[in-house]
Amino acid sequence: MDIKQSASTIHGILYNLATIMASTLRLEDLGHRLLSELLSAMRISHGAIVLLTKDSKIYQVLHEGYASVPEFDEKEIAILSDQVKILVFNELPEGKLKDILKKLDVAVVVCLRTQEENIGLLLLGRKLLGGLYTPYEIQALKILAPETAVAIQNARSFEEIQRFNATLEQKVSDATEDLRNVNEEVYKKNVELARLSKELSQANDKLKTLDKLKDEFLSLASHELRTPMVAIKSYIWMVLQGRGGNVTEKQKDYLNIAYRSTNSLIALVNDMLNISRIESGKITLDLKRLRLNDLVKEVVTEMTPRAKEFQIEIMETFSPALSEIWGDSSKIKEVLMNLIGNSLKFTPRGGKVTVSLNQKDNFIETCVSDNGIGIKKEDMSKLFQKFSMVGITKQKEKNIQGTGLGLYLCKLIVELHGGRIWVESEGEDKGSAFTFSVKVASPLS
Amino acid sequence: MDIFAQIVEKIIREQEGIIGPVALEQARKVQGLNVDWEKHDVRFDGDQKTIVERLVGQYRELFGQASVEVCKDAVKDVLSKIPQDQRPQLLL
Repeated sequence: MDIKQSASTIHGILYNLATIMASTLRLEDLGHRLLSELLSAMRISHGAIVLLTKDSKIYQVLHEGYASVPEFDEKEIAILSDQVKILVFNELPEGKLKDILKKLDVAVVVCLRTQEENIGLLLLGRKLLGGLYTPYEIQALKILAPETAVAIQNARSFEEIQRFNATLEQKVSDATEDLRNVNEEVYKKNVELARLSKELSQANDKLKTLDKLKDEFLSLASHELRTPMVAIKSYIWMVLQGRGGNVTEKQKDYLNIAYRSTNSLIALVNDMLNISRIESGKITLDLKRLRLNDLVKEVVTEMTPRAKEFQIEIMETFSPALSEIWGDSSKIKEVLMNLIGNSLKFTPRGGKVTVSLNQKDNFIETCVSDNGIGIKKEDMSKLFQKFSMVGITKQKEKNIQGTGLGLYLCKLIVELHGGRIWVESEGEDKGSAFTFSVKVASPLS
Repeated sequence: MDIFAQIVEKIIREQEGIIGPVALEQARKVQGLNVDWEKHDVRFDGDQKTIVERLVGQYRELFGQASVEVCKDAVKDVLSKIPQDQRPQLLL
């Protein structure tokens, strides 16, 4: 082959290799195609591209023409990759490098370097016809080396991106699957909740119906009970007055007990009727402008004989210039009677009950305070509940009777007026103060 | 109201009870289905059976088989009024 022919052949090889590098993105395809082209064009028996990691470890081996998968010693490869120039077996002096090439059955070693790093090695075997590599071929390999390194690096980057994409896709797919599972779980729980909610709503409707029936029954029963009880009370009173003939002292004692019990029973029935009417919305307030101080005076005057009976001092304090309120006098009076009555019940002989009125902004606060048995902190929240009998032991000790409805009724009445009621006490034996507030009437109303 | 429109309304209503406004949102994504919820107006642009199947499939895609069971339960009374071959496969 003359010089002109060789140059043209090499030019053709370089052109073909450049085309392969420009058109192949997959690393494995690139390696195999480059090797195949080189082996065929330069008539070489076998060849390999050994790809290295940044710390010169073997990362991948691509080979052509080997009878079996070639195995390389990492240390030997590391020694070869340290060489800057192309190593040609025939040109090497005897020594370690030549021994390695001999062992690896390699005639030429080309380092594949980019500007930044060592990518790997191109190892080429002997010529098929037994000749030597021509200077043109060695020159071509020199030209080829950096381009191959860049092409391999690009292919590697491409594969890394592909791997990254695949990982990302997998992760997105896993996350979507997880999300779907969570969705399904949440959905199942929602189905259960919807079912329970339906059941609850049905149960609630039933309860409402039952509650309505109960209220109706209570209202009817209370009404029917009150009439005969008033008759019983009247006849007992008549007997006590001697209208039915002489009554012995013993009989009087018994009749007095019966009379008091009938009174309590009538009070209970009245409370129940009132509560039933308020709760069922059947009550209508007879709202008028009211001066609370007049009402308080009236109630205190009415209660004074009872207070005297218990040897309790009762007094009222208020400024005469209080605003009027908008309220139902009979209902507000009921609240006052209840609160003062309670104070008298729970205050020992020699004690004191005070009813005071104060105006705070747009509200008149009525406070009934005493120095009686007081209330435990934990009992306060139960006070305004239906049938609440707080401090029952003390009540029994003092033979105090109650229905447990009075304060609940007070609360309902005050709330019907748009006000609120509360209690304060420092604790047992430290007295208590019940206060309710009602809004003042506007000047034009 | 057309029987298929009734089926769609029942399905959306039942799903709404479970997943809230998402039910209607998803129904509005179904190709060929136009729902004006306020006016109780359901319109189909294409084969009704296929569109109902798409609607059930839309819920299944997001919430799994449990949502299909809910759809089946919602329409069991109405479904019997449709000839066998016209019943959406997913609801059988």
